[in-house]
Amino acid sequence: MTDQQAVLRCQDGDREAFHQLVERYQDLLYRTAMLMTGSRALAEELVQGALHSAWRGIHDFQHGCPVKPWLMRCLAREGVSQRRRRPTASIPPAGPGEEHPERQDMRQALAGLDADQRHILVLHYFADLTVPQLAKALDAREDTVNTRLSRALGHLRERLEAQGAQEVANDGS
Amino acid sequence: MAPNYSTDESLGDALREYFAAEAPSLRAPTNLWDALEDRLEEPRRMPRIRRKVLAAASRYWFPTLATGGAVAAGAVLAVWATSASLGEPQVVEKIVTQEVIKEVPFERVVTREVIKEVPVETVVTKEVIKEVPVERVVRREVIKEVAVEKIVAAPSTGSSTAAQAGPAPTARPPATTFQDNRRQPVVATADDAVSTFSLDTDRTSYQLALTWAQQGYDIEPDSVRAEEWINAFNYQYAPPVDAWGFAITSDLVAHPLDERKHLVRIGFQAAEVADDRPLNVTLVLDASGSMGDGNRVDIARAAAETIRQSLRPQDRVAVVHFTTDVIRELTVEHSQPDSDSVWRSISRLSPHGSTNVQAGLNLGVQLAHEARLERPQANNYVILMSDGVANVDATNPFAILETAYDRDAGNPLRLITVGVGITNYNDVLLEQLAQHGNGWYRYLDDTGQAQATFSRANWLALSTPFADQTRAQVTWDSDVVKSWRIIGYENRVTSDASFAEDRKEFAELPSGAATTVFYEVELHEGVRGGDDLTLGRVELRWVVPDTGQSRSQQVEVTGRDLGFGSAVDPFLRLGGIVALAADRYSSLPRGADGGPSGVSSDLAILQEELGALHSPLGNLDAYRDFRFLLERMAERAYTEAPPESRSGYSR
Repeated sequence: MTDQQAVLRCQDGDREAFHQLVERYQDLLYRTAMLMTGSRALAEELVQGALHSAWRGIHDFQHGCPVKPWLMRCLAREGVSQRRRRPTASIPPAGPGEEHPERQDMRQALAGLDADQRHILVLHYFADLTVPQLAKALDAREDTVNTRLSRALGHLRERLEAQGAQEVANDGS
Repeated sequence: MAPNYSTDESLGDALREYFAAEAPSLRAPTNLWDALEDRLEEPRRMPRIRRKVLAAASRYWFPTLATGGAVAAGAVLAVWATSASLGEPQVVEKIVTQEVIKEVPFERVVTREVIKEVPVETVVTKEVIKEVPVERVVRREVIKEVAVEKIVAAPSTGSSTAAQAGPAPTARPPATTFQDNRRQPVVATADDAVSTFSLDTDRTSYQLALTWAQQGYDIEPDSVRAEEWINAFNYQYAPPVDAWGFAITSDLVAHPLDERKHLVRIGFQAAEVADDRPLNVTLVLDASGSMGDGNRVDIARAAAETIRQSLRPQDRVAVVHFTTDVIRELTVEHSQPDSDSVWRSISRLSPHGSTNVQAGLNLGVQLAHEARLERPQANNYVILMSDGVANVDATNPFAILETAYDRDAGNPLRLITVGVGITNYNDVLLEQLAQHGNGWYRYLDDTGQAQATFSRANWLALSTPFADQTRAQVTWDSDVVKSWRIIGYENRVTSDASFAEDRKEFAELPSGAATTVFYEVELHEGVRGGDDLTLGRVELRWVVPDTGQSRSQQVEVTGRDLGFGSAVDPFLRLGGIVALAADRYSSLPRGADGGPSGVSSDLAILQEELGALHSPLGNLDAYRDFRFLLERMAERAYTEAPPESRSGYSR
């Protein structure tokens, strides 16, 4: 069964077809959510919420459009909603210490960003949502998305540079 | 060597590599589908007619519930009716989950009338529901019979937060003055696609209603200004990116009362700014006899003293007392906040005589004007604390303002009005004075609230002006939106042409203020709410207080309807419910919205929707207070509905 066939059957209320779609995309959604939140509990909640709203909104799916970006948009929207529900949730860096120093630096720098900034970077550079797709998902204009992406990269760069300077200082001392 | 991330492209590539390396080790939990499937089991929304019938029927249950029971009571009724139509007791098992049951004080829900033949204890658990002869409990006739019987037995008090002693629940607070602002009409976009209004951050109408309800008084429909109810809640808007402007957001959601329509929410969040300018504060305190009722003098004194303590050494404060005229011996010209004369004057506030607001404000404005000339760099506030019952000299807001009028638009005096008192209270005077006096209006119902409102942290934000003469203009896309109606803002709506003018009566917003507006819209046939839609655009204009410079900001109004369920931000749903409840209730005396029975039915549906928000928002005071308030409103609408419409079946 192709994605499109599955969606058609979902629109007729076929729960099993939806199950198949979920199996197909759950790892991708979960990975994205983990990279966004850094927390298993939050990631599970995010994926569940996204899939739930996908099922509820399955009648709005436009035939011929690919399923993956649509699901990713659901995830992005759920991310916004989760942030509103948990405005003060603090999000730890993902995973244990990593042997590769560059990955460790990147992880640390990402963990230091605002959640909104980390979300948009993950959605763009991991989930491959384009700027127009992000604009749709986040209810924002494309130039706003571009600005937000650029700001997020800017902050990430600052953090990486600050960490680099700290390491140099530590090495020197 | 450290990697080079100097360009966005190189940093983007590095991010891609990092994510690609991290991702493979992450796998979705194996039970994801099982957990999700449980959520998908949630019942689909009932068709409007059935919801109306059930909601109306459930009116007979809600009054007997303790706080927290309403959701579940609705659920139980829904279960019965669903079973009745399907004839399958198994459905009961699926819908009534253990969680729902836990919350229901069943012994109170299932009244003696209902259980004539079914022992209470056996109805309570889901195991027992299976055993109950469903066709007997479930039949519509049974529900109808219950409903009829409950009409005979008047409902008991609605909530544990209600005062136990007090006036009859239908009593109006005596000698209160409000203005009936007719609601704005539905406008066809083909005729007029532009909506212009002044922003508003007051929330007094809501606070008054809550206080009355808690004191056992009826909520006066004319006192309900929907925009002040909407703006009483915090919708958790993100702050703007730029410190000089606003974050403007828009959302589209399903309309919980009308399937043909949608709700559009537009939120304006001002930036938080720090302002080191000193303040000249002039306290104008009502010492008239009516202030002797209850604890209103204590409240006014607490508020004045808290403001004094929140001021900084560089600020100055003056005090004016007025009764039939100003009390010269208690007047203190602008002095250091910690000077003895100031606190002594505040502490000597005691009620006697008549009320001459005009005399008090005249002297207050005169002192404030002198302070402004002396210290032109300061921000200037005149704070009037009163029950608003003016009875000497000018008693109407415009006449009072005319004499106390401040003509220096460059560095205006800002008039803050603080209302105290529940009965014998003039809401119109205080609201209008603030609206046309460059300021804002607050209502205080106890000394604790007075201290919290003017605590140093709150006061610093409230006394930092961010935007003056703030107004918005929404232009709907006539290809998408067929018709629109603004909810509330009746006395803030202004002509489209006035948008270009900087007018004194437009709103003054302090730092960090948020304003929200809801519209009811009907989309054209063929436009699908579930698509990402651009509905129009909204422009905001204001004057920067420091510089007098005019500013403008414009964004598209966009949104996508995800229903009115759990996929939608709970604060957005709460706002929609608050807006519609206030809107419908305020129409009660005029028989709009299908008359009292229509309003009653709509409020019952909104109670149901509010109940569904218990899980995400139930821990918030604001949620619990509003639920209590909505119960009282629904009771009042119900008592006004003609008896034949109370069966819960049709109207």
